[in-house]
Amino acid sequence: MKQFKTVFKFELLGLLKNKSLLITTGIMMVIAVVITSIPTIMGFFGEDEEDFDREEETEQVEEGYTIVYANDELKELLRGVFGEESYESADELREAVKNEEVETGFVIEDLNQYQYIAYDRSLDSYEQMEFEAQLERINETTLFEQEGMDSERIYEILNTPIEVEEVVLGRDTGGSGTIIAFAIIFIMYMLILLYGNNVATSVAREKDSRTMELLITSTKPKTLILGKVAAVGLTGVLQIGAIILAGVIGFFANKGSYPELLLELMKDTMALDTVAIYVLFSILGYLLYLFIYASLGSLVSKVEDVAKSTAPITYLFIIAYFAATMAMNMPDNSIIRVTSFIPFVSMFTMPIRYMMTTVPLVSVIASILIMVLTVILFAGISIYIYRFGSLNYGNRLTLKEVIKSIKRN
Amino acid sequence: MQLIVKDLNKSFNGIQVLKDINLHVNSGQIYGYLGRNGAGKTTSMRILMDVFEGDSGSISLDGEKFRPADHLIGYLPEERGMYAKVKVKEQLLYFAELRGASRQQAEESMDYWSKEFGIDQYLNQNLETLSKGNQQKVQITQAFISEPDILILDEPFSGLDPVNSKIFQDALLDYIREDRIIIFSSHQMSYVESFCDDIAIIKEGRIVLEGNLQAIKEEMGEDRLRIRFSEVDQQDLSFLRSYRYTVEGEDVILNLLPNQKKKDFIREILDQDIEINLFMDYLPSLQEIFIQKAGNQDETI
Repeated sequence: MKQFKTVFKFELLGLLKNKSLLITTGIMMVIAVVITSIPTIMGFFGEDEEDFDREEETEQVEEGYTIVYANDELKELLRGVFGEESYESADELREAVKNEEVETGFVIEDLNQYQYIAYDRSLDSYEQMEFEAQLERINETTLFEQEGMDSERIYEILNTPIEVEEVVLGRDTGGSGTIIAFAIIFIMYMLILLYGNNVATSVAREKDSRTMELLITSTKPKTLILGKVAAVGLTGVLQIGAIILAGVIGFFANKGSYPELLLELMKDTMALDTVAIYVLFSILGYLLYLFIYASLGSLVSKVEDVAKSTAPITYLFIIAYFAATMAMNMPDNSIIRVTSFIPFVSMFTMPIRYMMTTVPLVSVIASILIMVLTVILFAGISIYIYRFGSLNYGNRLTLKEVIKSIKRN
Repeated sequence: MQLIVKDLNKSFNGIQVLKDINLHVNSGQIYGYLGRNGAGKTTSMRILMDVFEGDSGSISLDGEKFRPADHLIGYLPEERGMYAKVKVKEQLLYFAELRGASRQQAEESMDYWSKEFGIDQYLNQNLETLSKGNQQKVQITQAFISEPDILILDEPFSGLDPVNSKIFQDALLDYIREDRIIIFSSHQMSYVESFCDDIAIIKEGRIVLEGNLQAIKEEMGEDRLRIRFSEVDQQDLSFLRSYRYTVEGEDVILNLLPNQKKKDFIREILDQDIEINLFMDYLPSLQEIFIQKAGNQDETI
């Protein structure tokens, strides 16, 4: 235990004194404050912006659409809605668009047919959608009247509201907690990717610099790995904690200028038991991935080989992350249910299932047990590879060799 | 204390690196483990330190199985490695504490040994900013900190200039106590000769010689003489034609004939009316012993 403390302290101080880590954290904290201050910053420009918007709006109405009617009949019928013709013919309009006199224009050929003329087209234009909706409405009304139907009555029927009374017997989150859940998933994603690689590099560096031989002859490899993982893990939590703290301070300092809608969203809450499940699974998942990364770092003996060695687990983790975002949308999907027992993914999917659906306590406990066992297993593997790796200087270890050697012993 | 290595074998990928190694290391003296590059010195030391296990054989200390973890050991690995980007002081204390020293012990010991080896002015620098020789001294200091009972040093002389070698030798001689075991490996005989008590020579994974250096010298010098003739031309040693001899500077190193006594030889020379300036038992240098034992016969050195 004393040795563990020694390793932990040494590794932690080493990390906390790391200038690039401190600078990154500082920058991230500043960014967090800036982001949370956006409503206030916007407030400074707010007045001008509103005026500007209104001006633009009026201009738009005055201008209306650039229209060419295919025949006089249409002109007569639609001038009340779309305004006067801007150009005599479709060709003239085309020429005007080409010469960039106007950006876009419409040639109305019939009530259910029109041409949209634009110079560059990127996304669907809002103007076109609006125009089309108006034309469609006119066309529909005309058709209804031709059939002798009362179009107003028809629209009334189409818009009849349905009355609902919801009876929920299981869990009713009503969407609350989802914002917190998304935040947790994102934080864990960042933590594991950043600090997983940190652990792997740290282990590989000891082998690269040959410090290993001195270390393993001075104390137990178990102490070294556990101390290192604990130190790196805590550093990650401290860093993220500092950034979140900066964000929270920024939020409270600027709370006054936040729009109602956003404040309403911020009131998102999570039940205490759900919080507990999230915390438990996040810690276990974090440890699991750190140990896996430590194992992979032990497999190589050069720092530059770390990326190659950790790539598979990084892919696996990204898949887990996607499973998590998928689970947010369909927590009761059978695939998601299966994944909530698979340790690499369950750190995300089980808490989501627990939050959004009814999960039997037995399942939760089973998932936790599987997770704990896997963490212990990978801790053991990482210690073994760390120790075994020291016997194989120079060459990159393959998993096959490691398994062979475990069997031998 | 006596550390005994018995019938130690080790193979890597089917190649046998150590073959029935037997060593007897006594406390209270310095034990030199000598061999050429690749002879198996480092492998032996790593097995001693439990970096890896031998395939067969045993290591015992005073009759009990030797477990490095149970003892306070100072170790200087052949592959020198410490943290490049960490202050010298921090890592010296770290390694001492890992071996079980308290913070206070570690600090006191570090202060003493860093002065002894002249690195006290570098304590607050990162290791990578030091010259190679100074880094080497930091590594050696590391082995001495917290006053280990057993000191295992793999090639401690490599990278040290003559002055630093002398400082190190003196420190090592000072360190000898009745209850301390000191082993070091080397292939630089000139350094070893002056302060080693017992030696072992390893050649291609096999111990070819082990024992007290003085006794070995006497034994290997038996029936050999160092003679300096006066007024005899080196080219004209025809009177020695029935003997095997070599010329070393002004001296002739001569092997007596089987069963021949020294006095018989002298009488024979004096009878020929040849004058002698120097006549003594020949003691081979460690260098010679080493070349004879560890070198290949057909190899020119």
